[in-house]
Amino acid sequence: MRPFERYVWWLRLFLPNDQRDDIVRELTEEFRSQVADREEAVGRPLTDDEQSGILAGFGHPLALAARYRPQRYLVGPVLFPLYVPVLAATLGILAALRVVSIAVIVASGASRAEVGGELAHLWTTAVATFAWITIAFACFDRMTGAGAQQHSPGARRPCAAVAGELATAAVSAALRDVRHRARTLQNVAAGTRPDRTSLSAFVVNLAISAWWLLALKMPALMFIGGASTLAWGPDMARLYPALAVSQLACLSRQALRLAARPDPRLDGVLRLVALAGGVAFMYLVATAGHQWVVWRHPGEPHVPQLLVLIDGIVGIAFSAAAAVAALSVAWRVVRGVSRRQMHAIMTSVALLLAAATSIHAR
Amino acid sequence: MGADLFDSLRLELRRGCLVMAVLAQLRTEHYGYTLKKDLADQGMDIDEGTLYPLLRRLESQGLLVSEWREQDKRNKRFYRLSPDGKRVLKELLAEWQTINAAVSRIAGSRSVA
Repeated sequence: MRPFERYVWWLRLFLPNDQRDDIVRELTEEFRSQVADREEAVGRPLTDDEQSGILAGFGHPLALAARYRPQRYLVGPVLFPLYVPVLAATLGILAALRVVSIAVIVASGASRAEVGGELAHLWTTAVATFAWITIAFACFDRMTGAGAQQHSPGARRPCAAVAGELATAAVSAALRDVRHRARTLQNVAAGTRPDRTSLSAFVVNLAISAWWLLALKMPALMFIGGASTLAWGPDMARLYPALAVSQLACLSRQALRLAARPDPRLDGVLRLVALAGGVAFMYLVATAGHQWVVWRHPGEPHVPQLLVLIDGIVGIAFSAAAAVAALSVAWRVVRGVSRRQMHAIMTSVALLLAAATSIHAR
Repeated sequence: MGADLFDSLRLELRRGCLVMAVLAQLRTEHYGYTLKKDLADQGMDIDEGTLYPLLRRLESQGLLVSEWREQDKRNKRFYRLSPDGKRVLKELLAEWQTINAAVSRIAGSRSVA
C-alpha cells in the first residue's frame, strides 16, 4: 500500500460519514496536484519517502479528521465554572459523611473486612456521584444550548431524547435500589440482625436528610454566599411538606430495622406514609410551575443566566427523583406481577418523565 | 517566556487573520491547491490540514459556495465568496482597519522593546 492510500485508509475511519467521500475526493485532488508539481520540478516520479513528506503537511489523519468535526464538550465553558464547585462540594460532603460512617463502624468493633467494605463503598459512591453530576450537567448543557457556540448548528439534541436518557438512568438506579431494599426486607422477615453497615447507612442518611431538610428552609445551607441573591421559590415551598414526610418516614423505617425485633405493623404504617409522601411528591413535581429558585431582587430587570441554570438543574433533579419514586410505588403496587409487565410499567414511567421534562424545557 | 507560549499566542493571532485572508482571496474563484499557493505567495502560509477544514466550515456557515468542475482533465472543487460572504468580508475588513489603527497607535506610543 502506497503512503497516500494508507493515509486515506486511516483518514476515512475518523471522518464524518456524510462528508467522507467528498472530503477524501478533495484531499486526493490536492495531493495529486502537489505530486504533479514536484515531479515536474525534479523530472522523475516521487519516491514513497518524498510522498510521505508531502503528507506530513496534511497532519496526522486523526488530527485532520478532527478538524472537520465540531468541537465537542461534555460540559461546556458556560456551565463548567458551576460544575466544578458543585462536584467538589458534593464529593467533599459525601467523603465527610462516609468518614463518619466508617468511624461509627470502627467504634462498634467492626472487623477489618467490614471496614474494607465501607472503604470500597466510598470509592463506588464517589464514582457514581461523579458520573451522575457530570451526566446531569452534560444533559443540561445540551438542553439549554449553553454550549451551543461549541456545537455545530445541528448538534443540539432534542430535549425528549436527553430526558429519556435521564429517565433510563433513573430507572437503572431505581432497580438497584429496589433490589437492595428487597434484600433488606427479606433479612428483616427472616429475623436476621442488622449488620453494622445498616447502622452506618442510617447515620449517613440521617446526616444527609438533616442537611437537605434544613437547607430547604435555610437557603444559606444550600447556596452559601449566593443566598443573598437566591431563595427557594414557591414550588419548593409547596413540595416541602411531602418531601419532609416521605423522608422522615423512610428514616424512621430505617431506624426501626436497626432494632433487634422490628414491629411489622409499625413498619407497615411507616411504609404507607412513605408511599403517600412519594405519590404526593410525584404529583407536586408533575404540576409544578417550575419556579424552584427565585431571584431576591424583583426590581432587577435582568434575571441572571445562573438563576435559569440552577432552576433547570433543580427541575431535572426532581423529575429524576419523581421517576424513582414512581418506580418505588409501582414496585409495591404490582409486586407479584410478571417481569414483562413490570418492564412495561417502568418504560411508561420513563416515557412520561421524558415527555414532562421536554414540555418543561420548552 | 517560553517559545511554546509565543507559538500559542501567534496561532491565536493568526486564526482570525486566516479567515479574513481566505475570504479576501476568494473574491475570485479558486480551488484548494491554487488558493493555498496564492496565499503563500503573498506571505500567508497555511497548511492543508488547516485550509480544507476551514473552507468546509466557511461554506457550512454560508460565506462560501463551491462546485465540482473539470479543469485540465481533472475534477476540482472551486470555491468563491457567497453574497453573505461578501458582506461579512466587508465588515471584517472595516473592523480590521479599526483594530490595526488602534494597535498601531498603542504600540507606537510606547516602546515595545
